[in-house]
Amino acid sequence: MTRSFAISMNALALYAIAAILLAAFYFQLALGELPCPLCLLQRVAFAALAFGPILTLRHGPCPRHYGLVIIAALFGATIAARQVFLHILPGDPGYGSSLLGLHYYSWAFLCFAAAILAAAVMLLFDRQFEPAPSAPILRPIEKMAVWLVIGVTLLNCASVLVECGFAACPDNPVAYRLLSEPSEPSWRAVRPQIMIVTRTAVPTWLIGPKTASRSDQEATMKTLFVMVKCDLGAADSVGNIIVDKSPAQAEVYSTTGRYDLLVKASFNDVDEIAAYVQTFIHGIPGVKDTYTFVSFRAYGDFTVF
Amino acid sequence: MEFAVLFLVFTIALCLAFWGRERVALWVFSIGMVGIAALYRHHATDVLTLSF
Repeated sequence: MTRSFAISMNALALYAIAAILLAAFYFQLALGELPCPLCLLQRVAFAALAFGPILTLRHGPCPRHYGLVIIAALFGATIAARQVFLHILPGDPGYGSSLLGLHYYSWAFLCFAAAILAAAVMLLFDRQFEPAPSAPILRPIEKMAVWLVIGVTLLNCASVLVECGFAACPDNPVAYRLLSEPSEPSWRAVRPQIMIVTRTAVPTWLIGPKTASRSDQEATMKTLFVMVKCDLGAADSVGNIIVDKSPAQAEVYSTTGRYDLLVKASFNDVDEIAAYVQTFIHGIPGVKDTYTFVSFRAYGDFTVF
Repeated sequence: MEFAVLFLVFTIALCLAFWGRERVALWVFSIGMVGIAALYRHHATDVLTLSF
């Protein structure tokens, strides 16, 4: 393998790295899937992978440059393998979407393994390492590969700043922090007053303060069921926010099927229901879609919260 | 924020590799790799329920 051919192969590797990082960007923007910390670390490792080839383009082929590629690829493969192991158990749906049957972190692991193999293969050809009188003269297409990788790495820097803001990145990101800074929700202004009606004939201490008769409750309360669809990986955080910040006492269940959560709450009138669904639930970061049921009547004895 | 800094470190390392001195670029690259290891240790805290 000649020196110029080795340089061309390194430029090709840079294009491959740029393509991988751009593809990750495409899936992030097109599917609205925010990268998790381990995903971001894999992207960083891909940027690190470009270091060796760029040195080769600048100074000529050297075994040390391929060694740097192997080191960066080992880091990346370790991170990707960790994420694979996190979701390897049967029944685990994995994190994020899949591409051709494999999740992105599985593809990342394969790419890092391929990089190690490619560096090892390149090291087999000695002729490229023969001393040269001067630094390589690069063609425009090879210079463009360097510009492209540096540009995409810088783009990732900007993207992750928008995603995480100026604080530590969350383990389970659900929104771009710099674009949707959480504000004090306006639903606090319309916090409904839930009326608990009890039978007058039975002492409160006997039946408990929250038990109500069917007819009394039907006269005042409407029970609401809201199916909530969340962004991938956001169901836990959305459920916790509903429980912690709900203006009405709510029960939240995670469910199977097309929706991730089932929320049950009771209200006095339609305005409160509208405020609860359209202002409170729709304002929670990570909520993708809702489907609301307002009940007519409940059967049998029951307890309101 | 920490990832933005890490990407910035590697952007600088790549720029130095192409336009600067190789030794300086290697130092910046090394700092970046230490950063990757540190962030990995910080974020990879979930227990792996595996048995070999």
